[in-house]
Order: sequence, then structure tokens, then C-alpha cells
Amino acid sequence: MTQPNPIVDLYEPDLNSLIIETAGVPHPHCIIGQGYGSRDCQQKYSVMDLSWKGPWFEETLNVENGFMDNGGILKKMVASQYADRQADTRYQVVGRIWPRPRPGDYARLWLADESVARVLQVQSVQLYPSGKVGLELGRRVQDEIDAFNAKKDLENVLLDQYFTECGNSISSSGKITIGDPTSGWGTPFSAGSFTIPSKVNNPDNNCRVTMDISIRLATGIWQEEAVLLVDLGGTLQNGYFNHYVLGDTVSGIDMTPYIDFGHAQTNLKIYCKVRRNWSSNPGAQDITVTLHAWRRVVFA
Amino acid sequence: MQMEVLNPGQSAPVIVDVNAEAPNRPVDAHRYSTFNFTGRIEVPVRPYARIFLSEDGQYYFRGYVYYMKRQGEKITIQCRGEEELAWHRYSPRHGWTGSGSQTLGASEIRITHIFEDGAPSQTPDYWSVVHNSGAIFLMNSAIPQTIWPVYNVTYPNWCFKLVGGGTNSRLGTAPIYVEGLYFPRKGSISECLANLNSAYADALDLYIQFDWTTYMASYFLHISALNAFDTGIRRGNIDHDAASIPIDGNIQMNVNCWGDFLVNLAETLGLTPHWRYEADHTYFDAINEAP
Repeated sequence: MTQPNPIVDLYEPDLNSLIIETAGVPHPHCIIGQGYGSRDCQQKYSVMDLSWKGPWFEETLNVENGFMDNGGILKKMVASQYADRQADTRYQVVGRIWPRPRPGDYARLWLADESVARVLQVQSVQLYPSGKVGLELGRRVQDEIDAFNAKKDLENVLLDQYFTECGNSISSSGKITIGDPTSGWGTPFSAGSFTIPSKVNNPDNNCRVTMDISIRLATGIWQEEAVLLVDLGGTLQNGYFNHYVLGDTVSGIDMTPYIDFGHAQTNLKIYCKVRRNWSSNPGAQDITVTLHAWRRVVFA
Repeated sequence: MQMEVLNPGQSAPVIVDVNAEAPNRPVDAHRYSTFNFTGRIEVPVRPYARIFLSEDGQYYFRGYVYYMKRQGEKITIQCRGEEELAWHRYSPRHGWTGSGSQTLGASEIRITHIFEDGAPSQTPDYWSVVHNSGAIFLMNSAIPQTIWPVYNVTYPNWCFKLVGGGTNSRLGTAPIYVEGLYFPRKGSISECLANLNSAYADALDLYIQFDWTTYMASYFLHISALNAFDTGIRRGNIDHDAASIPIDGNIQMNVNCWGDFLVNLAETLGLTPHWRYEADHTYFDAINEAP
């Protein structure tokens, strides 16, 4: 992006009036985008300005069906929202200003107590009968047209078309023995053989495969801090949930990069262990794993 | 009344005398204090400047400029108490789980551990709790979770880079903790790559080398830089035998607002939450009686 080229310099002592006004809501220094998945595996992506040295403001943005990789919409939505929210200060100046900027032009404003100028976009121009010019720089005051456009944007969202289930889900149930630090991972659950059809992965579908894991604890066993590991292919790199609480359902793990479409996969294993040693290992627990395939529309 | 103005990026406040109305301090800890001022101040005030008000050493307000309007020599500022910053910080995925007879081990999380503001202890404390990340520590220190690009993989170890997290950033040279474990900063990237569980920062970026056998391909570890996102809030007085009562059940967080968490947890425990201003910080108290 090229730097804006200011067409006029404005020096505070030369102006008839200067009003500096911040927004009613300060701009965020970080927006945390929350996308698809339950809390253990939720897709997250943040945009932040770590060079800012003042009080830190975060905001969150929920992006329905958002995934954080380059094929998903989470990064784009968060980056767009962050950029929109950065202009938060409005400068109103009145003076004999020449050349007269037009809305959209840039002006360089030199404040009396600062040695560095601000380059600001002209949002509106007022011409007074006396020959003076009033400029609104930086952030524009929101008006009813903005409210109307915001409502229109809401009506135009395409999220329903973005993510629809493609075919039937594949489920597998069985037993898992939950380990502990001393005994190790315990006996993992093996999902048996499953195949995600190659048809699912045609370019028009832009497929996404997600997985849900549900562990049902036997009576008398209660929640406990644990770690959960998903292994597809023996690399142990397909999902490691460090703050899993035993008994929680984990839904929406993104498995797309690990799926071999059209071929039987026999090596999906789920491991779990609690963080402290069992006083007496409660034995095998029920577990269900469900795989879903999704069809997506891609936004440019 | 004495007003201290600490503009963003400055290390020491400028002190001026002002004739101002008293700040509004609600008793309800769900609400924040406010302070409004219109008039002349003999120092420049920037948006988001920290404002501290005191008289005879007693602090009445610690907050920041939320709204500002400057017209000629007249300035209007609207400030909110520092405690309001707790509503602008969100938790990583985190949990504190109570102990039970189904597991062994003397490690027992107490209520006081949950409110902890200090760096995680690297050796077991009296209750055998180690590497505990307290709520106020995470609020002031946790780096917002995002994608850290892979810088280097020397199987089975991974080095990730936080773009913009270097020594010039607000992280500076703050001590780094990953899931409560201290990651010492090394003097060079090669030294970092040669040492498991270590960090390195150049002026621009922060690098972290993980031991894969400990962390594996984790979904969003929480990585903290001590007080790099300081709200100014510290743990105050926590009643209810907080040091001796173990928590029952579990508390789970995921992008939850810390302000709500602190106040609601205190109330759940039957305590009265309260924000207290002192010369150095704003303290969060959870006490048996109304302040």
C-alpha cells in the first residue's frame, strides 16, 4: 500500500480553532477472533499491536464457522474488523487553509506540543462565508447511514452457505483406559477403519473434516484435569489438548490436513491421561468418536 | 487535589495540582469508578493516559482517559477506573481442578492460588502446588492466543516466533512462562535453539523453543510475559480461609472476561468483592464484610 500524500500542512498556532475528540469507545489494541469448535479445540486468531505501550484493550469477535488457516474466514474477518476500528480520534479544525482539501484527501497536522505530524484523511469539508474552511479529519462521526449499512450487511451474510454438512457422519464407539503420569497414556481407543470418500474432496466442495470426541465416565468417576491426544498415523501430532477436563465433549477438531481421502484409514487413536496419579485406575470408559465432512464456499 | 498524568509510553508521571470534583466510586464491584474533569491542565494529556488522584497520600482514583476533548486551552477528560481494564482482558483456555480421593498427590489448589497475581512458582509451595498460573497473573501477563509461525523444527523440538513480540514491544524483557513453566531468555537465537524450553527476543520478534515431548502439538498453550499487559490490578485481601480451603469441582476458562470472573467468583464464595486504590496499584479484595 502506498503512503498517502498530504496536500496541505496544518499548524496548530495558525488555526482559528482545533478540537480533538476521541471516540466514545476506544479502539482495541487486540481483537481475539473465536471460530469453529468447542472450547478445547476452538479456532482462535488474534490481531494485535504489541508496540502499543499504554493501557491494553482487547475485544473478542465471534466468527461463525471460522477456521484460522488460509482456507478459512477467521483471519480475514478479524483483520478486517481490527483495521476498521483503528481510527478513533476526530480532529476538527477551522482556519484559512490553502490549498483547500477535498474529502478523501490527506492533510498533515502539526500539534503545538508534538514534534511529529499526523497524516490524516479529510472526512468532510465545510466552507464558511468568511472564507474560512472547516475540516473534519481522522475518525468520522457515525451517522444514520452507517446504521443502515450495518443492518444491510447483516442481511447479506453468507455464513449458511459457507458451511454445510456433506454426506453422513461416521461414528465409532469403544473403550478407552485413562492413564496417569506414572502409568503413561493407558490403553488408547482405536477407531477401526474409516474412509472419507474422495468425492467429498472435489474442488467445488472445498471440504473440511472435523471430529468430535465424547468420553462417558462410569458412575463414581468425576471430572479431573487431564490431557487428550489425537493420533492419526503414529506421529502424535494431530491434536493435543492440554487443558482437557475428563468427561468433557470435544467437538470440532479440524482433521482436514490429516485425512487421506478415498483411502481406508485404520490408525486413528485417542489417548487420555489425568494429570495426577489415580489412587485406583477406574478401568475402561466409554468413548465415541464422530467424523463429519463439510462443504464450504470460499470468499476471495 | 493532586493529579498524576502518565501518558502512554512515558515511564514517570507528571504531577499537577487540580481543582476537581471527587471521582464517583460505586460500592458494587461490577461497576467501575469514573472521574470527569473540564478545565485547564498544565501538562499535555493524551488519550489513554493513566490518571491518579490523591490528597495527602490517600489515593482516591486510579484510572485512564477513556474520552478526551481538547478545544483551545480547555480540556475535557472522562476517566474510568483501572479495574475497568479487567473487562478488556480475556482468558486463554485454562482450568483449575479441585482435588479428590480418586487421584493421589498432595498438590491441592487453594482459593488463594486462583486469585494469585505473582509469577508462577517454579518449586512446590506449602501445598505442593507448582507452576500455578493465577487469574490475576494471567490477566496481566497472558499473550493473546494467536498463530505463532514455525521458525525452526529440529525434530522433536519446535521453535515458534511471535512476530512483533521483541524487546522493542510492550513485552520488553519480561520473564516468559509457558503453562506456568519459566522459559529463560537466551542471548542469541542459536543459544535458544540449543536449549529446550527457552526463549529469545531480538528487537522485533520473540522466539520460543519447546520441548515437544512435554508440549506436543498443543492447541494453544498459554504463553505469558510477566505483567506485559498490566492492568494495574493486584491481589488484595482474600478472606474465607482462602489459603486453607481447597477448591471443589473445577473451573474452566476459555476467552472469558477476567473482570466478570474475579467478581463473580468472589461472590460465589460468599465474599464481598471490592476494588481498593493504593499508591502503587489497584487491589482486588474479596472480604467477609462490606468495605
